[in-house]
Amino acid sequence: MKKLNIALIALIIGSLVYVCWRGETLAIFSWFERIGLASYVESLRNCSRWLAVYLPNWLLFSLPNALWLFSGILIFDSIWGSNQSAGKVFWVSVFLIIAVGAEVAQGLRLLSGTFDWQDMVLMLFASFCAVLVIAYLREKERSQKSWIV
Amino acid sequence: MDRLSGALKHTISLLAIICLIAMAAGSTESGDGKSKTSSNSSSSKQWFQGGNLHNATVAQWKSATYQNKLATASDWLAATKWKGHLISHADFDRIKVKAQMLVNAVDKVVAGKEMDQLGSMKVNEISASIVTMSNDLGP
Repeated sequence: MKKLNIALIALIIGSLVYVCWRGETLAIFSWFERIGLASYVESLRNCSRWLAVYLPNWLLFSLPNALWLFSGILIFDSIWGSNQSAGKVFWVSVFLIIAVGAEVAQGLRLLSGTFDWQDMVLMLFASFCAVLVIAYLREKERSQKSWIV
Repeated sequence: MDRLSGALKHTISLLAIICLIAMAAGSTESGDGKSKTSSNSSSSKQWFQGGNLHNATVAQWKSATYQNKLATASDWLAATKWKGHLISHADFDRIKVKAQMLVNAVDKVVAGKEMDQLGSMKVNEISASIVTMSNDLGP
């Protein structure tokens, strides 16, 4: 459950970056309008506007995607458990192919958006961090079990 | 989670990937998002439209709305450092951040006490100085 909690926190942080500081032409804003949350989102954006000038570009434009990838890997690992299995490898691979493929497709102009090496580097870093977190939590769990035995 | 059957894990994984893709879809440009050049026909006003403080005085700038300042600042940037760089939707997100920085910078300058005596000074002169001297307002 710890992994799932970390994944959810990372997803929430990434989503907040989009909601607070990204342009309102994103699809998510038309969704908010449809479900009647537009006024709340507008208030949140007004409250956080002052912070935008202090945030670097990589945080505004690349970090949310990296956090999304980080969360996804943790979510699939928590679904499939600690042990290696074909199912876990399959789903993590599918997710990685979608994440990296979408960025490459932007570069090839098959998808709307802009290809950015910064996105790729941060995605690589996020994957590495996810593997580290998984390994750390697994080791912690193992040492707790051996302590109980 | 470890005790769930394989089929259930596959189902949950499928749902998880659908949710994650939906989240990613939310972060893409919506179909009705228009570029600065092509949005003149749009009935809903974009953040960069409607700025009319280009020749305003300091006093007029001080009493203007934030939206008006932001749209005006985006026009100044689009005509100078960002000329030829507004290609994709993502570029409009980027220029918005820079326009916010420019608005804040101009606000700081005109907030000075000495500016009270210079209420008739044109704000575009202040803006031009800031844009020229800054190294972080470009693309």
